[in-house]
Amino acid sequence: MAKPQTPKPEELVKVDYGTPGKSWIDIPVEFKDGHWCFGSRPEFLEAVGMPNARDWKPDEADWKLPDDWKDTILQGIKERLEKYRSFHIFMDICVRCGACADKCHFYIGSGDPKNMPVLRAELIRSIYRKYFTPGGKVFGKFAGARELTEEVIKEWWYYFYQCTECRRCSVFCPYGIDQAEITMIGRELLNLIGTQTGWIAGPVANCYNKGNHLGLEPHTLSSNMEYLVDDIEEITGIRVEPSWNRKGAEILFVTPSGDLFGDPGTYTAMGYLMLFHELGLDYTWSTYASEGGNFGFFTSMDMAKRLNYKIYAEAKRLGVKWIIGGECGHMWRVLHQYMDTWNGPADFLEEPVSPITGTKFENAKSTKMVHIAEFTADLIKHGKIKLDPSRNDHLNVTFHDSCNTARGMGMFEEPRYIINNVVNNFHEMSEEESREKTFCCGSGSGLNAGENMEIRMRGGMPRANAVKKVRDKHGVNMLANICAIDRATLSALMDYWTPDVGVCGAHELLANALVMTGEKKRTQDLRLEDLPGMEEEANEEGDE
Amino acid sequence: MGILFSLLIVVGLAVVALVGASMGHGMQMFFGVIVPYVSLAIFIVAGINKVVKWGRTPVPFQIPTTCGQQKSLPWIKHSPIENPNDTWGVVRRMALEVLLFRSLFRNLKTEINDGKLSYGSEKLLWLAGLAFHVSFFTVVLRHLRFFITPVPAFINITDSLDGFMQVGAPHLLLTGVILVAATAFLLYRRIGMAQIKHISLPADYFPLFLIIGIALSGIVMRYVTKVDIVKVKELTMGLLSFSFTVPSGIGVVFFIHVFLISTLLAYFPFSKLMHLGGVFLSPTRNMPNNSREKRHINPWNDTFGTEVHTYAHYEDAFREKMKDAGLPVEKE
Amino acid sequence: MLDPKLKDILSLKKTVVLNQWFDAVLDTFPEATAELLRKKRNPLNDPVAAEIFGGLTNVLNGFLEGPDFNADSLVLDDIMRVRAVQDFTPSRAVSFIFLLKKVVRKELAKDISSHKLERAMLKFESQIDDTVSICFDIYVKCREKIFEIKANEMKNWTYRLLQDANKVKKSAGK
Repeated sequence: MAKPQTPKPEELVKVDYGTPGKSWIDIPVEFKDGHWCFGSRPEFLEAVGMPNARDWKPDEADWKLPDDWKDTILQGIKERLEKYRSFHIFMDICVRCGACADKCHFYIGSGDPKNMPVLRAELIRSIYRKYFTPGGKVFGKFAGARELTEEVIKEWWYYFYQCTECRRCSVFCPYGIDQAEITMIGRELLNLIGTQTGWIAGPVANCYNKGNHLGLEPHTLSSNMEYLVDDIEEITGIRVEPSWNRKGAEILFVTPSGDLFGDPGTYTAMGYLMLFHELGLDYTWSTYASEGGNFGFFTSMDMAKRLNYKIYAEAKRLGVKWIIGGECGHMWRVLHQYMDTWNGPADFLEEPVSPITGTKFENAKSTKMVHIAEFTADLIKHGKIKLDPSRNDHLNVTFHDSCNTARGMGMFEEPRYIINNVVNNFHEMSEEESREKTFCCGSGSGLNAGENMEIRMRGGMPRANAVKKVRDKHGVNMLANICAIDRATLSALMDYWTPDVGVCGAHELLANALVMTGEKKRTQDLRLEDLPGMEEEANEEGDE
Repeated sequence: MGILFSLLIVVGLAVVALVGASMGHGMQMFFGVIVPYVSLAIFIVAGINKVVKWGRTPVPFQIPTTCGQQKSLPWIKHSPIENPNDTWGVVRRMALEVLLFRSLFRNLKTEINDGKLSYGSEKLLWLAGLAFHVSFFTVVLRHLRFFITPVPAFINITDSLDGFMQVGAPHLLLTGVILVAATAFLLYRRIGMAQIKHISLPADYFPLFLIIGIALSGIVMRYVTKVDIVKVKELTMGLLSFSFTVPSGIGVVFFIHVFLISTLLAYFPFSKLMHLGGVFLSPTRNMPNNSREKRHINPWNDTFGTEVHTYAHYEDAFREKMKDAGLPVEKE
Repeated sequence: MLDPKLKDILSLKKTVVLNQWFDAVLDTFPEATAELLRKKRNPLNDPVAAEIFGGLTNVLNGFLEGPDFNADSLVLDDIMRVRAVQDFTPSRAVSFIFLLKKVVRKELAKDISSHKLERAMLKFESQIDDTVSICFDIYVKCREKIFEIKANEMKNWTYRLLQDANKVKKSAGK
């Protein structure tokens, strides 16, 4: 793990053709600055009862692993082979056809061969072969098997935290092998011996004890929302009155806490507040279940389930009928594919019916949790809200499909329908870079830390590159999305690669266009910036 | 290095069969009867064992990879195959996947257009993969003529379609040629393309060489040494009726062919070739995307994630602060 | 501007110069990566190689077609923006331009003597040196940007909390 040395001038022009044909197994992992996150602090792990809590630094030689770490890992693999058909099959059937290789944004961005999904999986497959298959036991390296050593653990750690679990590779795999699934299991194994990143462990501990990733206590949450409410009043002249922990409300609303505190997510949160107010929706926020996101999902299934528990528990306690979830990516992968299985059945709730349109959300009749984009698209379709898209005329908008809502849900049209109804200038990115083939922001699955900024920028490069193309072609200046992590991380990404493109949530655009009952003439958008030319166009009508 | 090693093993296997079969009737019995029986038994027992093992492993979560629009609001056009909502959709998705390699068809390659990174369609791998599998399947199907009397009509039809070009005597069967060509291309990818070479293991080269060996020995028998079909059928029918006979004068190439096939069969269940079974069981492809509509049950759900932070804990920790902020509490 | 004769010869040999340059640049990558990239028959088969190759093509075209590079050159900005987030020391990050000198010297050795282009070549080399300085400036700018982004991100994520803690005025904070 030597740091790169400053090369001498003669080295700079040296042509060295290296050793051809070297197997990846023989290339040791090298921790490069800016590519990895700091290790977890002991108190984060202790807070949730995770093992081997200690002070450690990933770039130091001694990781202070427990004495029986090897047995723990091997036992962990065995257990997971018996529990997950996905893992078991994915260990066995890869033919290494290479279709996934250049589909990974980290590989495209970094060129590091171990970022090819197939090799990232081989990191763990090689161990599987050695200890769990006859071929690997007998033929060793020739069968692609290798010993489990501390170096392997470090390699896992380095590369499983260079995978954003985006599932793009699994779209192209002829057997549907999903590297996200392998990374998730790999991270679970690493968590068995206490090797977690601080950036993930911190929010997990906070979320467990305080209800949200930032660790905000109930009074801070509610008082902070007043700032959003103040801003809304300044913009519209209307004071919205959200409620917290209110029993008997019809709907519980859950969204990532980041949107209440971080720009530009806050504008999306303001969008929710304005929309719900305009509808007169009988809903409540919760301080106990104040986190839609789930960093436990980047830790272990166990942790994810424990954090997710709060949503149904709170819905039951408050006696609501059903739940709406805000815009978020991995939060929706969890809600859509895991929540009901973990913590259901939610038989204390009712099948969701929109109180405004009467639409039954058949697709959510078991989970009883509806995506805000589904809810809002339905409102617009039924003409229940008045919109003036010309307020967004200064924006040329493109849409980023978030990995999880795209490939773990298939939500493509709902957000597009909303955006097309609230803006007049919308341009798609190319087919190869959107929808199920969308590129990750490069910072998902708990990789949105500061210390790994270089790899984030590299991993996000394919996404930025696609945005750049629509910017150059159509003058796109706003990248809309439906994910809280996107709103934070794409802002950084755009700032670096395409500085003239802003980032916003779909409901920010919606709220800008939303004509509210009794509002004053809008001269500012949700960011308190002047709406260009709004004075002249004040008497024009939106045409949709 | 892995390439040469794999090649040498296959050549070695052929030599073993060659030498063995030349050593007289007893060894021909071994290579023509015993080895095929044993390898077939391994193939069946170990293959079934593997599939049963997979099948017994639970599918704890409903994790389809969705490649099209979900079924949500009635007026939004749903994509029933790329994102199936029910069994019928899954069946169609799987059929496309298994029969036409739908996912490989999506393959892209990186290009520079006007100095910008972009992605073009790349169908060569799909084409070669499909050609390989379809021709392999057809060749296997054609071989049923050695095991069934009288030969069923569909096999004769397959044969005549396959030999429609009517060149040479016996007629050149197209699938044999395609099989060799496609396998050669797949091998070329592994050797000639740096990226693919880097990810390849000996276990990737070995089956390719083996299959090329099988195909070539078959082609040699048909077109060069003109093996006596009647004698071959006598042997194969004998295998079926357990009346172990090895007619004399079949020729050593036949034994090489059979030995390589036997090796492939015995190797199959322990190798990546089990994707034949695995592809049907892959949870990202064979599950409907209706997890919010219908609860998916995880058989081991109660065994984990049980320690939770309840609302009561939470309120106990923050009650005074909540009261001060005007937030409702359960216990005053 | 490039000497017209040198420009003609360089244009003729553009493909070979570009390929040689590309090979040389790949050696500035970590071993495993470079090895993979180098062995590509067609660099466009690999995304990273494609991106580098595209950048080098643009830079070489820039030298050939003009105008002279300056701090606002998008071509240099594109390539440096990429290298600034790769695992390079600053010297290594800008070294790829130097490599062009060596390649041109080698590939055009005969032409330079037969057409008496030594002076033009020296001028071209000094032009390359200037470009390196520009690249270095861009590199530094990009690195500063990275640190700015890190700081901003922290601030943005907790903006409303800071608002609470510091009672900052939004206009002052923005």
